[in-house]
Amino acid sequence: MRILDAHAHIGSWGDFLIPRPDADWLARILSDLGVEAAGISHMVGVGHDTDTGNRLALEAARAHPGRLYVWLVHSPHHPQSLAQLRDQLDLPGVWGVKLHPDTHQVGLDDPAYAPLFALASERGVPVLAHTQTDSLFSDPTVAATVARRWSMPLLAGHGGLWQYGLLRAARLAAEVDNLWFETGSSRLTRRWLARVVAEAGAEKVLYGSDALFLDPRTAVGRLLAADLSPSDRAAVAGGNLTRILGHRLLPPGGQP
Amino acid sequence: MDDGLVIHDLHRILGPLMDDQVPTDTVGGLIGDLDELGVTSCSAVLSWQWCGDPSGRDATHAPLPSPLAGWVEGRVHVVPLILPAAPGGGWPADPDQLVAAGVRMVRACPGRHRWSLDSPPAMAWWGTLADAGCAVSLDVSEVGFGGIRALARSFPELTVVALNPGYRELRRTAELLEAAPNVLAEVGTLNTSGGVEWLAAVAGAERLVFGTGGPVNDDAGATWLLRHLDLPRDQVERIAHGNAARLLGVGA
Repeated sequence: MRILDAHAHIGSWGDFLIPRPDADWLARILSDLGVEAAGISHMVGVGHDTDTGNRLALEAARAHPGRLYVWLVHSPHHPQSLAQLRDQLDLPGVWGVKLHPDTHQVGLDDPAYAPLFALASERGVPVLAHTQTDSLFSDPTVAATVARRWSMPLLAGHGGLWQYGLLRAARLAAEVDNLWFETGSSRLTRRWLARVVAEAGAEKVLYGSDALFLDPRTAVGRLLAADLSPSDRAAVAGGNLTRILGHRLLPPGGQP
Repeated sequence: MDDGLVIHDLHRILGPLMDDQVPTDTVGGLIGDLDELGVTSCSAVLSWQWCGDPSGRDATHAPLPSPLAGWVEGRVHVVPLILPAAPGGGWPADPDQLVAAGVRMVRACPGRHRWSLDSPPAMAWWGTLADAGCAVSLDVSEVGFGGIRALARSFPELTVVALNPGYRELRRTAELLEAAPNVLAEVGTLNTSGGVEWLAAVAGAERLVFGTGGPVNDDAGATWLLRHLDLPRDQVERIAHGNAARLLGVGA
């Protein structure tokens, strides 16, 4: 079964200690777990410096070709970086764009994101966005609104995170063609994963770990233990993301 | 899962929940859950004590076992949830009932049930439990690291199990373990990358116990992580079962 991790990070984070924030550890663990590849963004980019974060992420991906791929972070506070992003999106090994409305404190439906969404829609570039139920910035309904307005694939990171909102987020993924539910979450259980798949349809759910925030070993365990049919598990594990990424998923040994 | 690892989940909930439908609402359902994950046994608090009135005055809890049932079907160790209070205000009426029943670990929820860890009744109870070799488990997210540290330092002979510290609190968990040698930390929620290994290196594997908080918290992921820890086998075994066995007074 092909396993692709749709949502991972490298780098440390000021809020708390991550003992192993490094790309080398992530690459080794992914290999041990049988996870073919992960899309990473760097925590520096998720935080205060998208240019530096994206550079570090690209360097890490070059050091681990075929194992680590890149979600380039875009911050609406640095619109001038969109030109650089436009060029970087063409680099082999780049999966798309990562947005974090909550750390950047700008709602996903804010006009500040419009130039990015226009670019992504024009180029068919997937966008992975942090979502969090009841967040003014990133509630899954906001993601759904954005997905309806634009045409790029939009991956609702964490599926809204909180258990009480998971099924609502799953229903939105079922309703909106270009919206997917991504599973990387500290709050998800194997039981909830099965419910989300039942609600959204297996083809609308994407496996993610939120490594290295979270240990990727826990997410794999949850995926394998969830009460899913083999075909549903395969779709969630990597089949869906393979389809979404298309040419952006290089064969093993590809170079960014 | 046939790795021969004996696992005891020290933190499970048995019974129906307020906000979810779970198969672990019966002993059979809980054992089924354990079997699916290859977990040998567990310690579980009764959901009616946790969600409702721990004194059981509603008395609508069949077919769940009594809080003082001890081991049920050899796999589920029932953990009484106590509420130290003035007579008529808590459960049980006095801690001697716990001692007489041979209880080895209790759970307390002062935040949820609105009482104070350092109230006069509670302070008397902690002394009794410590003298009897009975441990107390507390949810860090409810009580705070400071609350647990204060209790542990006030009663050095009382073993305190810190449940649910959370993946963001590795530093504070390490600080707590250093400050209070009688505290053990549950590792199920310490799931930031390399977190359990880090804490084992800093505090010692003998200070860590496996627990998940299932079915509310993720049990499958935590169990998988336990099986795949990058630690020597003897340390994993200590975390998985040995430390809990010592705590509960059963074969390791």
